[in-house]
Amino acid sequence: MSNETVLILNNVKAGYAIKRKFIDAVSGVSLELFHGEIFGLAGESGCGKSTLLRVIYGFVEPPLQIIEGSVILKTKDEKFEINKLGIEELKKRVWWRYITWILQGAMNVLNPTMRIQDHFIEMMMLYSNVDRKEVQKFILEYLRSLGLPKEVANAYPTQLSGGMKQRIVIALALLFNPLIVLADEPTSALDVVTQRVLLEHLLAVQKEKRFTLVLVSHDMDIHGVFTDRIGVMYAGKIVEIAPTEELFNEPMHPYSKALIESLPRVGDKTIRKGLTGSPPDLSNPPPGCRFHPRCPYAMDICRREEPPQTTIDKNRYVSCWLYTKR
Amino acid sequence: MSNPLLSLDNVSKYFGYGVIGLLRFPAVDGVNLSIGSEKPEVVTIVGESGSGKTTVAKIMLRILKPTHGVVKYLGKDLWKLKRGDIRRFIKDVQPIFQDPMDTFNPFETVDSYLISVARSLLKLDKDESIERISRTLEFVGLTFDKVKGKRPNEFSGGELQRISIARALLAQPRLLIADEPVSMIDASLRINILNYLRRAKDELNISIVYITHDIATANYVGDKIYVMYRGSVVEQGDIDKVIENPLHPYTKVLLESLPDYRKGREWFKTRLAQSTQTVIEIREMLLKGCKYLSYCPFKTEKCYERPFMIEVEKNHYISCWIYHNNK
Repeated sequence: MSNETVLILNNVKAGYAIKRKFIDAVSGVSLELFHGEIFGLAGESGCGKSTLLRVIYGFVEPPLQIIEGSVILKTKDEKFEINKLGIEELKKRVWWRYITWILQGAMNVLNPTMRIQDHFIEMMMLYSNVDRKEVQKFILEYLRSLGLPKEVANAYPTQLSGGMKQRIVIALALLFNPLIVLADEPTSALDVVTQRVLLEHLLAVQKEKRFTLVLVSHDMDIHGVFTDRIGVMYAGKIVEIAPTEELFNEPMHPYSKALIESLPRVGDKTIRKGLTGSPPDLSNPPPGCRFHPRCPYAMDICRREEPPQTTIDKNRYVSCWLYTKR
Repeated sequence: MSNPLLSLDNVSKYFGYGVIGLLRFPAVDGVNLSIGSEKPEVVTIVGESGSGKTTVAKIMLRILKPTHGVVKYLGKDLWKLKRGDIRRFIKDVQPIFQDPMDTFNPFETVDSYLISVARSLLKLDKDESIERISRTLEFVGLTFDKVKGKRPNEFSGGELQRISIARALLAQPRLLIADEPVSMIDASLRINILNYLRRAKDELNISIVYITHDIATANYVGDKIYVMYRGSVVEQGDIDKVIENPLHPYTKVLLESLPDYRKGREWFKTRLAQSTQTVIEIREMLLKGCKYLSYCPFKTEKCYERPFMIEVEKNHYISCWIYHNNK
């Protein structure tokens, strides 16, 4: 991880306009991503993790819309303001080359009537004017470099296991050496053993190619073993950003605390307490801090005013009135 | 010794596959399992997807009839029960399903559904039903007024799962069969559901079969564990013994691949003792040998025969030839 910034999100607000409701899925997110780091986005289902990825990728189509804020991608020679580019332009200039997105359940994107290598060949032909034979050679070499067995290239997707398909999709995403890879729950459909093998593979590839990886997962344990930094999301907001180790050793926001303390551990049967209540309806979020109805430390101000993002020290931010000087 | 509450005796269930379903594979293959009737216990069944956990649950609930083997309820064959005994079985053994949305009729209000359950299972009149329902709802931290007149879609997943626990408790069962009850629930609320299950055992003396893919939650609620792999039980026993000292190569791999934030990146340093395989083969399931054969790094010639359960220490059984040889 270096200090070179590759992506800056500045107070991004986005949501879904459905009928007369507006679902406030990303509500004022500011974030910086650095070159070569693994950034984890944690949070429960429906807290806006996937929407945030979509906004970063720039794939904003109705009913999703960006209300305000900017998403800036910094490459070596250029600077792109992603929220201002249209989808056609992004396709030509940004996607695959600088940012790729591994969708949730991505292993289902493979075409069952095409051999694995043809997926790669098609993609290469689409983006460069090289000879098919040459491409084929390159692809075989590429798959080998990622540690995928030779017989995979000639197999059809149905012949492969879920874990192997997921590795193929990751290989596809890395084909043009992107700067940023967005991975949305890459292991949620896999069994624990396969998940472990895939995470090992992903970590090895990331170390070698040194791209920035944004990993979305609801599983705190995966974040704990895999990421460098974590952003904890709750109801459309990032409530805490911290280096992984610090977050687990000393969570600051009451929500992160509850998330970590409620994890059952192997070999430990002591009774744990969970949170009460449930996450708010994002079309009608509570006033003030969105966590206050469930927060055991809620004060008067939490019910009235939204807490600002407070810098605790370098790389550590928390949005909570407990840590904000008034 | 009295009869176990529910027992599975060498139970198998075959499903057809292929174009017209002529080919058959065992989803559950020779499973022995018993739940004691003397004191309440939480029996957990752990395995990956496709290991036959849910099929076992369905066999226990008398939803599926096993192809081979006998399921016994208090010593009587479940499929030869008289009508009165079936009623008693339905009252005594209650399910909790994975998706709480599926448990309730979307067109019916939750309270009227609960009342109809109380009236048909317990033969109570309306006022008595409401009183009983209020008491069970209190157990899961809800009140009757809170559910009155509401349809399932007006509740969050966590609330609805609590109501479905209350529904199961309404019949005053002796056994709950919970099939992945927390996998659809938000992380911050999961532990609450697990705590209700623990309290049901401690305070209401109810035994529970807890089926999951997540060993950490199994360890939190369980007393006993059955580790399943491709339809067979590979290791079973007291949960503390199995988790502290896993012996079957599969159980070892399963425990090692469980991410643990306390280990951080160190977690990746332990090597998995498993050989990798790229193409899935259904034929393996039909093989006569050990189910774990194709992944097992310790396999020998002997493993092409099916191993059987042996006791390695008190209340700790394993089905692997490695330990047969040591004995």
